[in-house]
Amino acid sequence: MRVVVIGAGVIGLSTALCIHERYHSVLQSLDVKVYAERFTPLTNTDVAAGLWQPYLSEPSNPQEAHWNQQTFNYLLSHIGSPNAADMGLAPVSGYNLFHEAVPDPYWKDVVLGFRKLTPRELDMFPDYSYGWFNTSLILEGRKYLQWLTERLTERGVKFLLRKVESFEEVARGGADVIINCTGVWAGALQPDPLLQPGRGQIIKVDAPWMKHFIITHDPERGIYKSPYIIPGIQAVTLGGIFQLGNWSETNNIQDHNTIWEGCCRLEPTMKDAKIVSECTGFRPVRPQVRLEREQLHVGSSNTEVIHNYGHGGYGLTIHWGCALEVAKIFGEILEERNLLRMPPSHL
Amino acid sequence: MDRLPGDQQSCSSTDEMRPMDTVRIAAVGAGVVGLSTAVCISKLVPRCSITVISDQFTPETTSDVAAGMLIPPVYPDTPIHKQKQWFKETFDHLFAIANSAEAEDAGVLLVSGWQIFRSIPTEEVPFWADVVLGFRKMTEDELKKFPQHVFGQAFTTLKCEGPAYLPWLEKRLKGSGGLILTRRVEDLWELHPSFDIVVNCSGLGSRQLAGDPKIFPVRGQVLKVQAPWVKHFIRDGSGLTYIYPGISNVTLGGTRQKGDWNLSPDAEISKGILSRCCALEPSLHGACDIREKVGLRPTRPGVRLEKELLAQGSRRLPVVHHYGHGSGGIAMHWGTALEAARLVSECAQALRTPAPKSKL
Repeated sequence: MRVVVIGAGVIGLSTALCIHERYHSVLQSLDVKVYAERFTPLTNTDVAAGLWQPYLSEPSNPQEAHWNQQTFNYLLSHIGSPNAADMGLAPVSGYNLFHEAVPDPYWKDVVLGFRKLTPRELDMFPDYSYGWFNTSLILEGRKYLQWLTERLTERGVKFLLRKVESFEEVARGGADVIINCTGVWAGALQPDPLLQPGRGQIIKVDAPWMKHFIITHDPERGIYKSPYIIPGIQAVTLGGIFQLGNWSETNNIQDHNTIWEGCCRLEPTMKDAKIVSECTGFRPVRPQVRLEREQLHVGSSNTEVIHNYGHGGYGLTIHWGCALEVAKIFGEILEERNLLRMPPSHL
Repeated sequence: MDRLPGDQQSCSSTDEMRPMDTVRIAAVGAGVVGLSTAVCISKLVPRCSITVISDQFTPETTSDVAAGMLIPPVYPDTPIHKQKQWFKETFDHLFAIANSAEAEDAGVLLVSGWQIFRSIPTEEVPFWADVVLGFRKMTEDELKKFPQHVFGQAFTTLKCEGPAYLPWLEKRLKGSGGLILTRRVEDLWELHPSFDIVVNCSGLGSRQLAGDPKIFPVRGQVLKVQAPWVKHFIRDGSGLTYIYPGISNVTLGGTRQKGDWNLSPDAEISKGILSRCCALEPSLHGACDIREKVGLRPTRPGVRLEKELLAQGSRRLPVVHHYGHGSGGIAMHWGTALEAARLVSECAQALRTPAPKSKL
């Protein structure tokens, strides 16, 4: 069984690992390769701040809520392991701020210690009048990708720097199953009018006194368009940019100013923070994640493609649930082809 | 040395002062208590000059070793309402700094976390619960992270770091004309007649300077480590094991060794601290750049905050004692400093008020 995963961001690498973990011992032979044009630190995952937090409103596909929860619980189970920090994983608490009262989010019982902010806490944020406090998790993109790469390498998974022009090309190369984790660039392999870039720009600063995340919300402006401050393991990410349809990969000075002014207003202590780096990334925005199977007819054989892209600004938040779902679909493919020596233990 | 009873209110001196004279005040001790008292005095007492005199300055003071977490101790001899007042005043003072652009300079930051107990404590809600932010009981899910513990409190409090805060206080003091003098004071009388009032903030030094047998060290050994992924404090309710993330390192503790004056770190104790902290937070196995530190908490059944008029022959020296904060130096410093400044102000007033010579 030859599997090719296209894409080496969090979705590609975690899906590769999930499949290998579950099926390596139940298949006669399982060969997994990862093809990608960009590897860490050049992927969109590397730009993400890495805070586990879904969007506030319920997803149009209720499965996504389940996948988010599965991911949180999976990550939480690694807290308490000595290696958590190697994965880029750490608990972090913080504030979500609003201009007016809002209903509790659907994930309030997934995170830990969810509660409303007290008046004295709100005093710290004069522009806001309502908010939440909860404990969540940081999963730093770069560290996690490095960790995933190590785990995959240990398992003999090979990585190839390759620009894939078509699924057919990969199928003709001998792949039985292709996992399409090409994120925001999926349209190049198969047009998808529902997929758009949600351009984000972030500034990474040295502000080691910041131990909490602060995320502001402005329903009129939309998600990620309001300032946010998210501490990572070493640096703190400042953001607040979301531009649908903008493919510009260079940092923009106006966006820099928007982020800087917004975050300094939110948190006056940022004024003296030293800037470490600034980057741009593209959230793969889609009304819902595309996670489904498709059969390709290449020559006389059927190649299966499992699509797993379009995770918007919540890729890290949802990745493991999606990886498990892809693994389930992969299992169905194996059963159809009578390839399983014994039932897989993890489904 | 003749002494009048400790509750003597009068601070009159045989040396008469005219109302417009500058009152010369010496603060002995340059830890958090000495420096903050000097700053409070400079703001409260008109026409005074303040000199902080000490043989040790930051980063060599006890305040520099302390993690500086605002989780107050209990002083058996001090009424709870007073402790709460001191803690609240300190919290409010530092909270304002934490939310200002000065936070990094002053070494003040907000930290959230958990205090956990192996058995349900008699007092589930401590007196300071409404001073810190967002105090509540931990949920069952939160407690799962600590399988040896059955009860916990979650809250957000402040951390105030000596190595930054003390220089920040010194700068404030100098900005208002205060002076700093490096000198080891062996006897408070050395300060007479150069100074009109002495504020004794010498911590453990008061054993000698004030002849106070009630003050004794409680030795604390800690490790300062690099573990920047730790964003929460974790404190065992016994106070013996704690993890306090700060601006540039994480403090792991600790010990509470009564009557132990030894300032050298003990390697076995360090191993024990690391082991206990890793049991609470396994990711600390990856901590590096481990540095051992020792501080002697200046412990007393209650903070000594009172006036005393020293007398020797015809010489008089008004003293305000302000020491004995134990493990609560940083947590209580501003509240007690405000009170000490008020006492000093009373002394200054008395000196300036022409009074009949006191009959002794």
